[in-house]
Amino acid sequence: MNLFDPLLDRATRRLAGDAELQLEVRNELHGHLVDAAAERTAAGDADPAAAAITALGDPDKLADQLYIANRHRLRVRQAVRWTIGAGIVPAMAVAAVAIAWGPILSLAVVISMASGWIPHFERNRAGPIASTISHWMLQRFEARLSPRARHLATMTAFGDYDWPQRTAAALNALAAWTKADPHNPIARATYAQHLVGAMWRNHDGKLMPPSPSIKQVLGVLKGDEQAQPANGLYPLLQSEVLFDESVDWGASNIWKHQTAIERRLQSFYFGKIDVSDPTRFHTALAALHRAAHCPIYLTYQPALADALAQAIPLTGNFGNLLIRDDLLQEVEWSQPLASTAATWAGQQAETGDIAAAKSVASDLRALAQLIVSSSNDGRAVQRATQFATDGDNIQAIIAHREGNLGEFNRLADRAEATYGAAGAVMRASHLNANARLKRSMVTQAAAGGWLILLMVVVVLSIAPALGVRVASGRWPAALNLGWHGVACGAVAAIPAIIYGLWKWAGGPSPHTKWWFNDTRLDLELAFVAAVGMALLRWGTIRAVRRRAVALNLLELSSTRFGLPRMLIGIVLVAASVAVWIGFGFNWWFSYDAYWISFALTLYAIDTAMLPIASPAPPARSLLMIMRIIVGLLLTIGFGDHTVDWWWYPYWIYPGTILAIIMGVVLVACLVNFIRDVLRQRRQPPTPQRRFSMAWTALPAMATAAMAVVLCIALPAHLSQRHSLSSAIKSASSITGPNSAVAALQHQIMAEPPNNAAHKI
Amino acid sequence: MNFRTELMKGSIIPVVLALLRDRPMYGYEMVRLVDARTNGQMQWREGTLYPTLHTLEQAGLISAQWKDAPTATGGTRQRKYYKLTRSGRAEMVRRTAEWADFSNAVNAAIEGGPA
Repeated sequence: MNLFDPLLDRATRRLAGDAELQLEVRNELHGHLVDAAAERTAAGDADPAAAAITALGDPDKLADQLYIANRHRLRVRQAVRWTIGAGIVPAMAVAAVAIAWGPILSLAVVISMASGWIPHFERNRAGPIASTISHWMLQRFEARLSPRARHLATMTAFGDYDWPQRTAAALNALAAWTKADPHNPIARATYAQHLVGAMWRNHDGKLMPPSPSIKQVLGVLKGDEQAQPANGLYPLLQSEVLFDESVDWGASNIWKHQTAIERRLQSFYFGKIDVSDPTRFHTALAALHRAAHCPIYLTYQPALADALAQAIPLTGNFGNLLIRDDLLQEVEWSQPLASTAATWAGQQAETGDIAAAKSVASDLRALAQLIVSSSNDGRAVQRATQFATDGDNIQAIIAHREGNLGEFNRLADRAEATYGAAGAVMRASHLNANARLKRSMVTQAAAGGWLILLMVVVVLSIAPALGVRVASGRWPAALNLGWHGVACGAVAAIPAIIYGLWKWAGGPSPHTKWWFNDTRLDLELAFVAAVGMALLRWGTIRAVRRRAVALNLLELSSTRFGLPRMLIGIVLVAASVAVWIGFGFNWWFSYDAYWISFALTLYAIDTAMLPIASPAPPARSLLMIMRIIVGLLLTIGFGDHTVDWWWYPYWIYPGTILAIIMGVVLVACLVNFIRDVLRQRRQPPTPQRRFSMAWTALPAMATAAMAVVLCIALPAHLSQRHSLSSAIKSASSITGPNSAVAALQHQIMAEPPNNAAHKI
Repeated sequence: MNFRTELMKGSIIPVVLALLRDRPMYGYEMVRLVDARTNGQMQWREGTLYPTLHTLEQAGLISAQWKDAPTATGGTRQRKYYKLTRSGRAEMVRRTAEWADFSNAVNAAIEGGPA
């Protein structure tokens, strides 16, 4: 009925200030003309359209009358629009940003930390954006703590030389704590270990600010030893300080002891050292000997960790939760290892001072056994490994020098077995931690992602069919489209089917194992799904448009922007393939991180292009929201996948920027969705509107389900004790006795310290 | 018979309100009903109906709703149905009585009554 368009244009031209009103009046007049023309046609009128137009009257006069009739409404609507534009929209934008700010920050921290970055501990590696955000979040987090919790967190969140103010503040707080509670062994041990840990040296071996002075440190440690003479911790710390102060490490002289006897070539490598201050050096040796013969060795780190865990409450905010875990991990500071004494003893054995070497070796093994016998904590037991193997290696050198080859082999074997047992502890720890991480973070993210993908597939398959059914009132059209959706879904599932068949046929071969191993499977399948989703979307929209033409749903049959969307799809697929290739052939090469970032960015762009491709305004906003959430989950999942690699910094910039962009787009989509729904409600109930609202129904339900999963289920899970918190904490910890720890304990404790020396 | 424009303008509001007394109607349906009831004597310029309907809607005397309605070909199409509001019903009673009084007065004046 294009004949009516010129008349309708003229009759409604004065309502152009309110497009919705204009459209509604136009539809009403159009219906009138159609009815009038149909009746005249039935009456045998030769030109029914012209007669209907004539009967309606002068369109210009009608335009004036319609304007006068709706003048008040037009003015009110115009005023409302101005009001909204001038006041409400900025207010809503501010509110939206305020609401979204927390999740955006959390996301930035999540991505950064999941990429292996700790917010304040390695600040220089993180880059300015993520580090600034996380530093600020850390300060806010600490500001909300109770005074006691803040006190503990400030003292133990230790920082490095890149952050001297924090280190100085921590030391001052610890000193005050020790002074206020001198009989508290946790306070004393924490202060002592932090004091030694804060002694940072530059390349010339000089102490750097805010390092405490040697005199101050030794004074504190001697006071500690007097207060707790049974604890070997304090003499061992003294020996470490004194060794560092009394030797010069050769810049390039790597000293090697090598043997080629009986079964194998055996090499021992040491950095060459020169004793520059013999008095302090021998005082250090005496302190080491004292430490080795103490009855106990306690660092009180587990006790401090427990105190911190109780003092810092769990929080529902994801970013804060990770910061809390980071603070808890801060108590796991490094331990003195007496490596200087071991190196010096090795040199003495090489140069013939066997007695001195034997003495140090015996002390080192005694220290190892003291540490093991003092604690069942896996971390402490593992740290004893270095003392035990250093002692064995020195004894082996001595045996070799003395020609006792059988003893040399026995000691070398024992050191190797100790390393092996320690490695087993580490592997058990990592396996346990990774399993728990998988169960908690990755599994949730991946499961959530797959659940959402499933919902998206269902929505994309069913929603258009439902929309066409409602718009056309005919099931055949809907069924036809539904079958098309199923076919598209099958095409999208082909990669997963191929993978399933391949796995069923025998699983990974040695050559292809790393393509589909457990650590990258989620990511790979996620990209498969992303490509599949693109195919599915393309197919269903194409089908919708074809049906729309058949049903005369003109608004839906537009093919505008088809080419850009196809190009983006092609680039997305190409990027995904490039990621696979990059992972497959260059997994050790850091620049493949760029490919990942690139692919995820393209994913976001493709999501942003969705409104152009989707015909139903409210539904397209919802679909965008869903895709963004999927992208975020993929991003988090990706961050976890890279947690063991060294190229985290390459991800931090694009990851953080991407997180912020996605968060902003997410908020914009929500606002857009609300606006679309309100606009749709005001539209006359045309087939297009019914189609849009019908298509909106399923994404709305799916999005609501996601909201339930993300807003209720996940935080509820996170708030439990055995949750992400403990999983992440255990990722860097070896806690509690287990079979691997027991084996290492047995290995270290099997023989008295001086047994080997007696045999020689 | 074609009535003068002034007469048509004065009568359209009470007629529209009276048409909606029994059931909701859409614009073209009102035109056809008036045509049928007056045997074609009262032929509205169809375009004038819609400004009147919008004015009454703005005044809160009638309300509108889009609904499915059958077409002559057996299908359905969306039409905008108008119905009286509570105040519109009161206004209809008032206007009907007013028109009756006015009509009686005009008749009396024309036909001649007690001086």
